[in-house]
Amino acid sequence: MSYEYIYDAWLARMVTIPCDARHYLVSLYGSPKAVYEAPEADLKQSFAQHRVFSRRSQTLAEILKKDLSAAERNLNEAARFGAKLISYYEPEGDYPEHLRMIADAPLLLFCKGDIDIIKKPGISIVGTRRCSPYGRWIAGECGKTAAKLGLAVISGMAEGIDAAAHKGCLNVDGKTAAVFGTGLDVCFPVSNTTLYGEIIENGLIISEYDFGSGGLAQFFPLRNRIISGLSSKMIVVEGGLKSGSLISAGLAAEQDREVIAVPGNINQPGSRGVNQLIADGATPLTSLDDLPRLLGFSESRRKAETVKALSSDESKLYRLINEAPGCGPDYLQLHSGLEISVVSTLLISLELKKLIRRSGACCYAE
Amino acid sequence: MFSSVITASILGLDVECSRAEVNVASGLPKFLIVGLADQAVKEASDRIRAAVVNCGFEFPDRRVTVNLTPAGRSKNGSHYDLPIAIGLLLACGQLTACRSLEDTAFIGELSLDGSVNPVDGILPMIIGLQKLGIERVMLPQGNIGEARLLRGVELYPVSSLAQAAGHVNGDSPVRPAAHAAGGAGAARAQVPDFSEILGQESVKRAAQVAAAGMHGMLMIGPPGVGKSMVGKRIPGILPPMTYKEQMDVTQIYSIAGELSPERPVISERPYRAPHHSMSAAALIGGGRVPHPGEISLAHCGVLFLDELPEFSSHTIDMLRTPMEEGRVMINRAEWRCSFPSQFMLVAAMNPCRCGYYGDPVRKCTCTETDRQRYIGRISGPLLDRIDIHIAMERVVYGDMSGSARKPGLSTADLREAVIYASEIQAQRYKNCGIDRNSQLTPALIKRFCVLEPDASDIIRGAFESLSLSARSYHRILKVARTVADIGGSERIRSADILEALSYRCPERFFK
Repeated sequence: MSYEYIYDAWLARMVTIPCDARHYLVSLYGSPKAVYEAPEADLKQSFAQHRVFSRRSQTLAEILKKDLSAAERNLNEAARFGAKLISYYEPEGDYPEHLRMIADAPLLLFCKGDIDIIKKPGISIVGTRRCSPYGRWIAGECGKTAAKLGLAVISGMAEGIDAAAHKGCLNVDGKTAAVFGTGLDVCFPVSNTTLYGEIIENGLIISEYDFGSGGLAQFFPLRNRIISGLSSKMIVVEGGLKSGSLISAGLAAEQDREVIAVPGNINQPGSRGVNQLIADGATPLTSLDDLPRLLGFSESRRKAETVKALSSDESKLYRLINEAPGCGPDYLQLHSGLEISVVSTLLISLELKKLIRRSGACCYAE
Repeated sequence: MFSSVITASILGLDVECSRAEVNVASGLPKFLIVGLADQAVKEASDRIRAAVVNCGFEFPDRRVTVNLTPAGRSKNGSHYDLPIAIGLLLACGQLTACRSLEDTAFIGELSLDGSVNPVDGILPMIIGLQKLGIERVMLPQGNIGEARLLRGVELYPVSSLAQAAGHVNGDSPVRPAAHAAGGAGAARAQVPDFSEILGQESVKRAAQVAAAGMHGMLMIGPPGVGKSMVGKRIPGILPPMTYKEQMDVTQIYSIAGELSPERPVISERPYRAPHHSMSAAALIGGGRVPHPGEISLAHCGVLFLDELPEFSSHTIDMLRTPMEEGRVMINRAEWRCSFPSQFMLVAAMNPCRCGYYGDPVRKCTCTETDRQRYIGRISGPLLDRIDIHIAMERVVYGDMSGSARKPGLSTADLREAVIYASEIQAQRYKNCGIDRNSQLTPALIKRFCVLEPDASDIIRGAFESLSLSARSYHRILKVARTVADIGGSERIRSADILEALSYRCPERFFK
């Protein structure tokens, strides 16, 4: 029997109390469905008893209405849009474990695209909407680097940094997910229409809001908790002192995600926030070459993994080079018994994998 | 009395039909030659006077005027002697033509004793005349070797003015010379064999790829590793020349005066190894009278520049355009002409001044500045035009010698694949106006260099990790095309791309 999302969708719409309070409510009854089916008196009593619900009579009234029509409309829209649902309470569902860990974890997510992208924690890249060309470039490069390391890029598809990060990732056929502050069917901002299509095609879009919702101002900071929740590290590219990016960075730190900040010009208002983050203890990104290491891909680990993935001929040559540093193709041909054209081919392949270095004809292991 | 005899004037490879007009009129005895004649032509008057007399004719004691048409174009060379002498004899009535001479051209230089000496440039002259509708050519006996390559023209070789005169008046006609097939009878030049090189198998392979696609090749390595040995052996692995190529090359050698009775036809691919003290004009051609340079003499063959950084940088930079275009244009104030220069550049150099930079055993004594200065003599654009770069290692004895070693690749081994690959290329480029992969234009690359999906991933990745320039892209594809041709593959596979990449890492040496 398939899981009934209707009660999750119903509870997910009770936005007058935080998700945590709703999770608490579910914990009292066992499941969203049980909450819906609970007797009126029982619910009233629960609301009166527990401090989390104090002064939440508006929410109580809404729950007691037991009106499933809006939730039903939402599920119909989702079906029509081709969206997939991910519920916090669905047993053996697709809900990412790393997202479950955060405070205020969303009850229900609407997704469209490749859901595998969020199975493992990705890298979130956030920043101001009104970014400088420098910020846009850095965001693109970070997106590209993360993609090449096989990490998903999570952002919010806003103008500026977000869009640049998504694009940088998509340009190298990487995996990217965009978390919306609007309904899935609403492309906001409209200027990103092309990108919106590309992300649906090659990535994943996620929202916890109603279909057709144009987004309320308070939704955008809220969705930031999902962005950081879906990632293991957050890169803040540019942002002023009072920007949403700083809020995101704060949320990420609360969720125990590492915050990496890109230093900027100290005269530029758009850089003050990120520079402040560095002053407060965020990891500064001092060079793009450093990024793989900061993202957890150290040189030794990369090398060990690459060596493990070598073909048998490649590893034969690699071993020979390690044994006789400075040897040349002739030596390698003689001792490996391979054709000379094969030796040249394998050598350049090892060089491309950054396992060996060549000076003239001499080969050295890196 | 007036006569007019057809001959040819030549500038570079451009031939024009020219006439020697002779007028013998009453007046004080004088012999005048007009029509922008140069020194060699002016001096003809004395040679002709002696030759005419020594052949038993009489030199007229009257006013003789010779006009070489077109009078506005400068004439040079000594081949006008014979037509002027015949014209003179006709004009003063000592000779009567038995048939019209309007389809016959005369070319030849006279000795004082009346014998006819060979001249330079006979082959392009006859080819040019043939295009202009001339069917018969009288030429020096000494030039018949190169001229008999041609079909569709009757050749009358003569060895003296008397013989020529006898033919013209019909007393003793000269038998037309028989034609010969290209390259027939020419002994195969002695090119040393690749098997004599110990080790250096990777360089031999690179030479094979270079030869198969006529790619430029630069060998970098310490002194004494056999760079020059490899260079000398490359002509031996090139495919045989076609008839057309033989004609093209022989024409150039004809103008340059490099043909001899022993070698009347260039049937083997040329190998030119000029010394590094050479001047720019000697390399690309030029001079007062257009003379083909080393790059044209190496047309269809190998131009080997040993010790590349020792050449003047001004000189070697002149290679850039001819390498790209396969033709060199020489412009002077009075004339311009072009020579073909589709050569395979093979260059060799040390990695630094002392030669031991990067050597695992011997210490390099150069300072960084010395090295930069040495390397810097070769310009980036030139390096970019050399498709294949290969590092040579020092041969280490011990396990390299003795029975452990398989016999190395020989010329015959290498040549087989080169011929196979060049046949594939000839077939593929039949209607494209090119013959070899090295000549591919970007449009043709798009058409013929189709990559397998994993191969295009590799080249994309390589650009970033090896920080190659975008310019290198096409060069790599061309070399990969050749590697694929040697392997008999229609598409370029990932191994082909990788091997091509391994031949193109100038950054490895020139950083």
